[in-house]
Amino acid sequence: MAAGLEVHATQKDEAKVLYINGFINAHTVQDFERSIQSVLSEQNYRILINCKDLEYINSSGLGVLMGVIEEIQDNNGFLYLSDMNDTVFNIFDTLGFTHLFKVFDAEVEALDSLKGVSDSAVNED
Amino acid sequence: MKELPTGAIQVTFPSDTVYVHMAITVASNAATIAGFDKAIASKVALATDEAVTNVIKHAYDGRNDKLITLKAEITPESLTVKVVHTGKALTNEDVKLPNMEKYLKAKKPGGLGLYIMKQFMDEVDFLVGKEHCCQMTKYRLVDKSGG
Repeated sequence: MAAGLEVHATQKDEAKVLYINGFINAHTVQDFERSIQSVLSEQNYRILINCKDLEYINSSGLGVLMGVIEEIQDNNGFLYLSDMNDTVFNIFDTLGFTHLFKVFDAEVEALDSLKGVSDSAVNED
Repeated sequence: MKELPTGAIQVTFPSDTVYVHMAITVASNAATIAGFDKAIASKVALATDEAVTNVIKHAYDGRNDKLITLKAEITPESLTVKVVHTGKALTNEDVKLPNMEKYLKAKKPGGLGLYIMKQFMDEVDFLVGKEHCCQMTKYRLVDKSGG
């Protein structure tokens, strides 16, 4: 990993949870993309990104999320986000990404929402 | 009442993405010194990130052996951040902002940097000259971007 970003993935209940620590910008975005692609390559299409330790994300990082959402939806998966700080939430909200990605206040709320979810698609268009 | 500070700083650094985080730290600190709260300082930082990244990727075609100068000017009315370079110039006429509704439906990655700059700052101008400049201003009493 380059200085500035660490990504740690773990399986929790129905979702592969990615913990992002640091910032996602042009310097670190390739590491972020590799982490997401690594999860997808294992055919994990139920992904929750915990943003508790994400300092900020720029347009490069948002582009990565846009670039994978279709593959995830095509495989009946979801890409949820949780625990955003005000800076990260503000950029998602300003750009309208909160309509494309489901955002939870806390990881536990995201995981709770998955309880009893069948194999049918759970992403919202 | 405490008088708001005025002044100017500038820093020159190589056109390498490793320096982008340093640049936004400077811009964010300048915003704080100018009296903006943390939320607006974050917007100034993000706009600066996008402006510097655009210069590296597009004006300098990704070359990391060029120079970028970041200037922050604090006046009684505003903070102006200038990203100065000698690469390919971008003009105001070149700027085409995406229709976000269509953009989100198309799920197309990329092309959001200029939109973020325009949303998070009050004015964004591209100046062409011997050196080219992306000039972004935040006024002390205006915040049109919400949040």
